[in-house]
Amino acid sequence: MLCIAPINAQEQNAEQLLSSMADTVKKSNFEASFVVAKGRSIDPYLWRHANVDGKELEHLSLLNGAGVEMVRVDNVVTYFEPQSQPYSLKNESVSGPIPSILFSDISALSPHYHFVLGGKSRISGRPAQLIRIESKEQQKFNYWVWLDSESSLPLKAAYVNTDGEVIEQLQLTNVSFTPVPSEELIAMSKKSFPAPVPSLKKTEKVGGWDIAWLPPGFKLVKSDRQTLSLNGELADYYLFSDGLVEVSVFIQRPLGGQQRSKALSSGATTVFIHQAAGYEVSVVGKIPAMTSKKIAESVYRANQ
Amino acid sequence: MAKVTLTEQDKEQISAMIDGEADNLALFSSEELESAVERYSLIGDVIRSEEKQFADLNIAENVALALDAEPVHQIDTEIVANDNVVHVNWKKPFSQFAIAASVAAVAIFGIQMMPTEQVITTPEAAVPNVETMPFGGFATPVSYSSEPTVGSAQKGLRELQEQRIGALVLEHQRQARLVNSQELNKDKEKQEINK
Repeated sequence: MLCIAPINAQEQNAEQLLSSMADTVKKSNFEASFVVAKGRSIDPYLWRHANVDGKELEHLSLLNGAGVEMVRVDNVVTYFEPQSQPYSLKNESVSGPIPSILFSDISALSPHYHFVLGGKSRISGRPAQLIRIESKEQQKFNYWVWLDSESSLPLKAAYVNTDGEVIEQLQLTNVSFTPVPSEELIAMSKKSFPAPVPSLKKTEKVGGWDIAWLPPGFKLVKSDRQTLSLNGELADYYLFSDGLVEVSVFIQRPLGGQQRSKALSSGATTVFIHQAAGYEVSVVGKIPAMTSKKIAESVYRANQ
Repeated sequence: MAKVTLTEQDKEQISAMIDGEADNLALFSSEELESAVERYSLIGDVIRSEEKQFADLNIAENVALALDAEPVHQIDTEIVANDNVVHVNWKKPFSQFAIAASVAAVAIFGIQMMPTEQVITTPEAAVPNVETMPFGGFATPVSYSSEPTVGSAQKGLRELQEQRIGALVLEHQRQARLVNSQELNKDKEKQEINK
């Protein structure tokens, strides 16, 4: 990587710490438990990682309810969910509660986020260093990560709004590093998994809709017409990402009746449903409700 | 733009409806739902008046196709036996309309918005009354509600709306996984070009 003259030594330091976190996770054998707290609900997870002969093995499991299991063998992640057949995707990290970008090249975030060193504190019984990934725009959440001062493992993470209020948080409750990889994880990785689904081809843009406003930094990743797997409904679909968070925009026919626009949220995830004339726009993503509202209301029929 | 955030009071009034326990998930009657879906399908794609070429990218179908060609895997029982995780047979398809655990874990509260026109003119008043919204179809007494008693037709509609929200959240989660995967592939391409 080219070395750009440091604007601010502190900032570079925070970035370095984040990349050493990614490094630690990649190279370590560990088993950790963490919980994700969203409002009144708490989701417990088991997170295991091993490095065997240069290959990464990872297992992330949601322990409540019917659960979700994600198993990664090197760069293939297989998702086991109760409502569908298992499937695999090529990916170097599992799509769990911690944004994937934190495990890869976080410098991709620098156009729209600052990396700031925060204070030191005690998390899960260990000394921790706070690193704040601060959005440069007001319309997005900030992401704070507390790293273990010794191992650099993330001990706690939170989506924080512009007022500094925690919207959703993740907290490690237990972690144990082992010198040798877990036998269970090795055994699991030797099972046969579905072949990875071919990566997305450049999709043709679905015409018909103009999404006039998005917070700076969000780029269109894909758009197409979707059949929603849960209820079979059709939707014109647009997916945006700013590197840290993804935002989905669905345009569907209204269900009828006297519906009003509404916002729903669970932790940082917001669903805003906007009732427009003859169509319904839904925006889903880890963004503030007012931001999803603004996006939803900026959707218009094109060329009309 | 005027900054609007939830007040402390709003937050206190937030009620988590679902804790992700499978036992609590009321499965929608598939007959009921099917007929409802049929009804709504009859409305047709009125809103899409013009003929369009849509990209042939139906994730669910592509995934299903890819998986059809796959041998049967034994991981389900093995994982369970190995680590006492969740006793779920992954091969057994759940009811198609069961709310996904991942979705159910998304405990949702609702903020009833003011009528749209008013919201546009007075954004400051845009987050007025928080309304708890039963999500996932199990009967939870609504602790308080700004709505009058709902009739059964409205109730059916509301259920459809809840299903729609569940479907959207699940679709978002799945699509987000594809983004990361796509970005990885893009990066690889770039690296190869650079070589």
